[in-house]
Amino acid sequence: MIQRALFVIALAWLSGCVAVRPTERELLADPVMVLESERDMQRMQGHIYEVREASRGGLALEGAGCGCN
Amino acid sequence: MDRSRRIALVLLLTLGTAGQGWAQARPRAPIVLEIERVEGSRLAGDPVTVAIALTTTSATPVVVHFARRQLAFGLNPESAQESLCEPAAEAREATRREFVTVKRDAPYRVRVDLSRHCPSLARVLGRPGVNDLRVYYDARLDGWQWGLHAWKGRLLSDPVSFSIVPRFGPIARGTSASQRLLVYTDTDKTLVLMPQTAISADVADRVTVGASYMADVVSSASVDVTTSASRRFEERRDQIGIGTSYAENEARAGLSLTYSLEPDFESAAVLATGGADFLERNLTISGEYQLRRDDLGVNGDDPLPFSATGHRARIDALQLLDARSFIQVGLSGTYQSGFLSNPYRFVPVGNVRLRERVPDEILRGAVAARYARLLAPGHSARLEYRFYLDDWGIFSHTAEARYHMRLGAVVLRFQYRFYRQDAASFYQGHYQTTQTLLTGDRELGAFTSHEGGVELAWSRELTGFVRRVGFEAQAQVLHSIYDDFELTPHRTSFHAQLALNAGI
Repeated sequence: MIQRALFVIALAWLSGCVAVRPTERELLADPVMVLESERDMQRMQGHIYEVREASRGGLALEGAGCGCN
Repeated sequence: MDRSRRIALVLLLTLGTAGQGWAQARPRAPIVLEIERVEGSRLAGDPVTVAIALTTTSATPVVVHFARRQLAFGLNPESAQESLCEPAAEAREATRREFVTVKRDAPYRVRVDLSRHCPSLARVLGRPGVNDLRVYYDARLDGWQWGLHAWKGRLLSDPVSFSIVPRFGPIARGTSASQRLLVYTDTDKTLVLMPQTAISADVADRVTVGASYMADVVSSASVDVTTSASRRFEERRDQIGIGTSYAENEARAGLSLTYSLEPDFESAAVLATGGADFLERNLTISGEYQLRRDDLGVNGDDPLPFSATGHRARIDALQLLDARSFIQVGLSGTYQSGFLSNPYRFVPVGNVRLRERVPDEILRGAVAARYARLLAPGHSARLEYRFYLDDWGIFSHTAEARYHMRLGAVVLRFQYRFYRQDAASFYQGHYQTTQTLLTGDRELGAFTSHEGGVELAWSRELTGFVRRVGFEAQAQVLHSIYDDFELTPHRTSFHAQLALNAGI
């Protein structure tokens, strides 16, 4: 029963993952949503955090986002 | 539940979630394709380049998906349907990915060397009577297949549209450069200047190379490092980096090397990165691995007596949730071994000062999540959280909220960041007796930080030799409150960045 439930959830999730078609990315292409545009600035800022905090690691500033060039 | 009902339930769930994407609004945004300029020589066989621009009247950027990438060239009105080059590989030159973003104030431009991809064209253009050039793109936009086309009349008789211009080799095309300066100062009387110069260029189809130089000039009287002598120190670090990256339509990989040098420190690192898009670019998986080797000592040591090695790995997944939002989650881990203390740092124990001694290895891990949503065109909000843990007993929470707004060509970003960490198991604000492990590093103690700041970014697309210019500025204030560090219970720092960049 659990296996069936997991199968149903996985199938539903995978199909739902295509939430945005290529032609529907107009809003995601807005410059306020594009991660890559902040990458260089945050890389320099990350150097300060490494010196001033014991913690390391985190997320990269990249991803499909708008899918733009 | 019998078998047929189960099947029906699965189908319903599948169709329901798959239908989420189609339920989104499909805004209509007109796109216009124009030939702006034809450049080259009238001599048959010489390079001929056509500059094409895609523009939109939509207030928000429009993403065009080239469903069938081709160019065709009609030679005159009577033979408008005649195709000289079909299918054409030159569309690769149009974009490295299948998507391009077209903005109202900054048209997307592409330059195609006709003779390179269609050797017969230049010979044909040299014939008498040729008076028209047409370009066709098949693009998918707004759920419809669009046939974009444009023509430039009187091709060979118009001196403005067909002139001899200098050509730049493949190194020049796609070259960009940036100059950046970070200034940091704090209440410890520390001043850091970090100028950075970077340049990158497309050297071949889908291959980019880059190089950078950065200096790190530090002047400080920080109490936790100079307790041995209580004097000011100055130091300069030089860092150079080279790298290359390769991008396919839905996958990319990169490799970079960094070398850093100062009188008492030498470091070399290699970084490999990779990423790929799945599910029609709704899901992006990316990762990286870095190997680093440090050699260090105190000023005057030759050779440097201590060394440390570090391995760092990270994997991220970004999933689009709908046409306005996405979520990103990631895991990262670091293992370092060797000499991890600061050779300049001494720790007061009773009435004496002893050298800092921390463990010779550390295993770090972090899990993080980021959620971003477009509130309205030109306005977005973002929330981020990270949990960090290491085997020295430190764990921390980092939370960040950002609000971005666009005013014309300017993007403003407002940020607040909260940070809280607990102390390493061997950290003490004041050691009464000597211990196996000793540290005077306040960054290994418990503390809380608040940071706020604002960033400004401006960029503009141009039509001349320089195709893009940009400017960035940032100002941040960071205030830290230490739970158990007697010398300075607070520290406030201010840092600012300025950057200029340009691309041709």
